[in-house]
Amino acid sequence: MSAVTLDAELELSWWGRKTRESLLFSTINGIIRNPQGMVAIIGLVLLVVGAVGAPVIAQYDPVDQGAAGRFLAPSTDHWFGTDELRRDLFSRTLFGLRASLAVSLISVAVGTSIGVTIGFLAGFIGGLLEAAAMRLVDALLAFPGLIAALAILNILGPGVRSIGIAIAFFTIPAFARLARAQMLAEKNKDYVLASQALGASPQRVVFRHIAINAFPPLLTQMALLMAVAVLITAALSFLGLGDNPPAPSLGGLLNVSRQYLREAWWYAVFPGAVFALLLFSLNLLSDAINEASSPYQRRR
Amino acid sequence: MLAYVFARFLQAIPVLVLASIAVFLMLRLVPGDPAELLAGQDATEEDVVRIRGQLGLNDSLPEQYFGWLADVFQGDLGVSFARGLPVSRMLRTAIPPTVELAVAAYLVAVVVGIPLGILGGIRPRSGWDWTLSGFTLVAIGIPGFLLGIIMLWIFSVRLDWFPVFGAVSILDDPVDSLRHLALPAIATGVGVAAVLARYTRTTIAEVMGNDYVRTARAKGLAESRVVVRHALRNSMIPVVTVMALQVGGLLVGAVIVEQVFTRPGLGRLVVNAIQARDYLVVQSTLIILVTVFIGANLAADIAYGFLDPRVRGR
Repeated sequence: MSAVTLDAELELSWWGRKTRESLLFSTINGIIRNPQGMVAIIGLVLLVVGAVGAPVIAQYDPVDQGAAGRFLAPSTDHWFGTDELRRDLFSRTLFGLRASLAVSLISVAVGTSIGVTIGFLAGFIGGLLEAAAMRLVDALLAFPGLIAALAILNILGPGVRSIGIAIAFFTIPAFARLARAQMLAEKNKDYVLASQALGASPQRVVFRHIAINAFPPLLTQMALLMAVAVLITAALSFLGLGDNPPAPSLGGLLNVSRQYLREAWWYAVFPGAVFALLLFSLNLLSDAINEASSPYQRRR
Repeated sequence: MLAYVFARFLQAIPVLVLASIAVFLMLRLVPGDPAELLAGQDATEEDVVRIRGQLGLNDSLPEQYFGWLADVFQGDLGVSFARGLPVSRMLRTAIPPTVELAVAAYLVAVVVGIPLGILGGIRPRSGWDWTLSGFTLVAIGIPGFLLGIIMLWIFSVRLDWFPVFGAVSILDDPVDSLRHLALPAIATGVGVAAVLARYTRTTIAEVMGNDYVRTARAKGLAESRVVVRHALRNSMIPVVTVMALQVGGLLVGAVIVEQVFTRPGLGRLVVNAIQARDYLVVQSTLIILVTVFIGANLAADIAYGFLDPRVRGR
């Protein structure tokens, strides 16, 4: 089997030793060199550290109502102030961010795996399966994600789990379409034929060789869909369809903050700023990955 | 041309049928007995039996589907168990405020987005172009409901220029209606404006590099005439398509922004219905949203055919 791998790498090497490590490396390198990409990475690192480290960083329990008073303005004790139930808003924002990121990440990952598998299979096998799968994908892609999400919430009932399923569901067609296109572009290249000729199994050809070369566009799409997922998660929690109180979420915080704009501006402003930073970073990141992985698509 | 329009209509039919089957199956996919779900938690056994008869749940699935479709076409969408009202009547009161918001937001999007795109596209890398880039970055990055909250805080709470909640029909009191409409319309429309501006910029910039634009300039035409008569006409074709395609997104945006400004409308209706598990109401709202969406796509196709004679032949 090692002969097969070697063969694939030789085929790739004529355009500058692009083995799979260096392909990933050059993409990452391109993102970091791009100022937009750097801003995105700094923003995301900050937010992810905040979300992952929430239990350590936050000085207060996000659901504890024992703080000093209602609607305390931001201070050194309570960086983001406190809310109507005397809870610390900095803690609630961090834990809300954590929840929103977790739902988005898990559901996009699930949707991506299913979508990419469908797309690769459709592209690799072709025929009736491909036609049927792609018509279905077209039909699903024709509708905005939120309409599909509302339909799924109607079937499963409101809640975080339903939101996750809804996001995974609308992630599938976008990835199936892209993965199929990648597969069609790659499957007749010489390195694929070579590894097939050497007796590599179809699974090995698809997942060891083609998947690796089809990787960068899928990564771009993932960053973009993470932004969409974060947005839809927040929108649905904002509408009051996703929370299990008292656990916080970014959308839920914004929804409640609306009623107290007169008393506590910080209630809306800080969670809103964190949410905006998250969306900005994800959008910038997908732009940066796109430019880094396809240099010829750089802006004119 | 007529043949083209007809063909496009025919192509929209399978999509509509597929969508209607999906919406129909939605209720059957809910775990449990649909009749019991529709009757609600306080229902008696008789209610359940009656509803089962109404829905024809004892028939085969295709029979149920066609029966349901016939009812829908006659405007009979069933009765909301949560409110005890016919769904069609609830929709009649919920649709006008949402349509008012969507139309106003659309105006905002077109009036802001297209001129900004034209100005940026005529002179790439000028001050206008940088304004455009900044605007699209912010407008696409900040979702409508967040922008809505920010504006609500600044303009309604702090400055007290606009009412904090509610809606007034434009037919009853136009001035008050517009005061209620201004902020939600901007919040909903700005994102779409950014999309339109981006598209307009790209197509104008492309067209401005064409030979016929150079010819027009060489003839000694004033720059304004070159832009309006030569560049705009050709660059507007894809823009019109995008304008039509944005209708669906705008409607969805309106549904969320309504919640920010506590406006009555389809958004409030569907959110309350999902929370109360009032399936028929959700189902009916989704049919309406999906139909509008398919209609907008159809309109985009047809507009494309009207504006670009080359498309019709295909």
